[in-house]
Amino acid sequence: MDTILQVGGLCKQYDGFSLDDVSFSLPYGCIMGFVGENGAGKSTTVKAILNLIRRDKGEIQVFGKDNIHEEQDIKERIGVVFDSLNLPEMIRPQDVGRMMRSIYHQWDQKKYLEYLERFQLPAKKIIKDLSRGMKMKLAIAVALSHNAQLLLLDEATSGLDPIVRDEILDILLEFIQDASHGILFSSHITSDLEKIADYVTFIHQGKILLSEPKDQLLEKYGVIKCSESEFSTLDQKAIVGVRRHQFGIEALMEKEKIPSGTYIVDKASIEDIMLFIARGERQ
Amino acid sequence: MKGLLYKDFCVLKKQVKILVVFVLFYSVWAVVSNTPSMMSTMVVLISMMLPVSSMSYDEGGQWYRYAFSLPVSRRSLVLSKYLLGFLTAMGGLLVCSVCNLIILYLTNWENALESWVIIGVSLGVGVIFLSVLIPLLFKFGVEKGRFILIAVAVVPSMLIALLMGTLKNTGITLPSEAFFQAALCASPFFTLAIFLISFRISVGICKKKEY
Repeated sequence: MDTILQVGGLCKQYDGFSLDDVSFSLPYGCIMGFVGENGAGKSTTVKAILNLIRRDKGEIQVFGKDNIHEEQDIKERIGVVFDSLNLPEMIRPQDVGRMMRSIYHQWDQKKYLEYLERFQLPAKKIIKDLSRGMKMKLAIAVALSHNAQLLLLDEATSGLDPIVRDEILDILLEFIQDASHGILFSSHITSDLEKIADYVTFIHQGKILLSEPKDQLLEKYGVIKCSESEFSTLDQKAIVGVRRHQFGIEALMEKEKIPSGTYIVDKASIEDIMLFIARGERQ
Repeated sequence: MKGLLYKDFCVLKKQVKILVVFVLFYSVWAVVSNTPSMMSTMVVLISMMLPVSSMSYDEGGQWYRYAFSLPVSRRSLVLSKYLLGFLTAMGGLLVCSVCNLIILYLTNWENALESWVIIGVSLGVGVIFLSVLIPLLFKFGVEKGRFILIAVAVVPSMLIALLMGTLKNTGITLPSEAFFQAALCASPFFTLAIFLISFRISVGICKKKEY
């Protein structure tokens, strides 16, 4: 399958944090949920894709092109939404349209105005006076109004109420109807990802732990509860994470490897997987 | 490029309005009190203040990381700041010249050459100041840049004062008037060269920086 975004062996060293051999690929027509705790390396990865930071090692290809050598061409075709609207507070949505018209070759002013109307964004109010939800919708309107094929959303729905979030998810689903599009959606709101993601990539302390189709992932893992002695009889290689508490042990493990009939197996949600990976003891 | 400048003007619109009031006030004062040097000082202030405050807005709103995720190269963003500086300096020069003409007309073209020289020198000083400041702001950010601004303003003046003092003590005479005239004629080219070099340095800094 062709990939719209491919990250391979990405490394970046900081004081006290590093991205270590980050690799994943996003096929055309898919939404990838990029999950991890705060500080796991999600934003750093997105920044590396956008060439906002210099990578130490690795390769990044967007639309099959190198993200550094063909940077401008790639950026014409991606829409980016960060966790906040980084447009100046003193300007109005209508100014944003005029400005973007001379920044993007493919800027579609008509589409932009349609989005403003659809999101009920006042074109003449200065950005400072918009609510957080409105600001994020404005950012999405900009990202969708230049015929972008790839959307990079970095924590774009954090801090928004469930209604606005749901609206945004609907827009993303609409966007992905076109098979030549793709979305990388970094978030720690796992319920959002559960709703829309086709793929889920987990990053923890700068390392990719899992990158798989969501359904396969949810199918593959289960949570079992057992005692310490029962635990020792389990196939340790199949266990992803363990949490010990007063009454016993909870473990996230591959369902296939769980001895049948002996244990109650709960479904593992993306949140469970994230918690087990981030907080549980690793085997 | 046009988009970036458009954004800067939208952001600075309010400030420009306030500045226009200021400039009007000072121009009336300059005309009434017959002190055109007041106007030229304003030119320096205006040409310096606008690009700097636009950069401080940019930084506060994390504009750079967003701008660089649009099809905006680092070079063109830097260029837009220098163009902004150039345009505001030209705007200042225009206002200043009009004012000076009025004053000269009212005073029967007394000291005409001198007043133009003062305006030119002020503009030059402003441009050089910007040329030093913009790379520093790109490198260190506006917060730290503010302190550096003080250093940039204070250190050269102290050095000059010191130098003048030492020169007097050692008994070396200042160069002749002809030398100063030649220096004055060369100064626009000198200023332009500094402005261009500064641009190259800023592009270098911006390309290396991580946002």
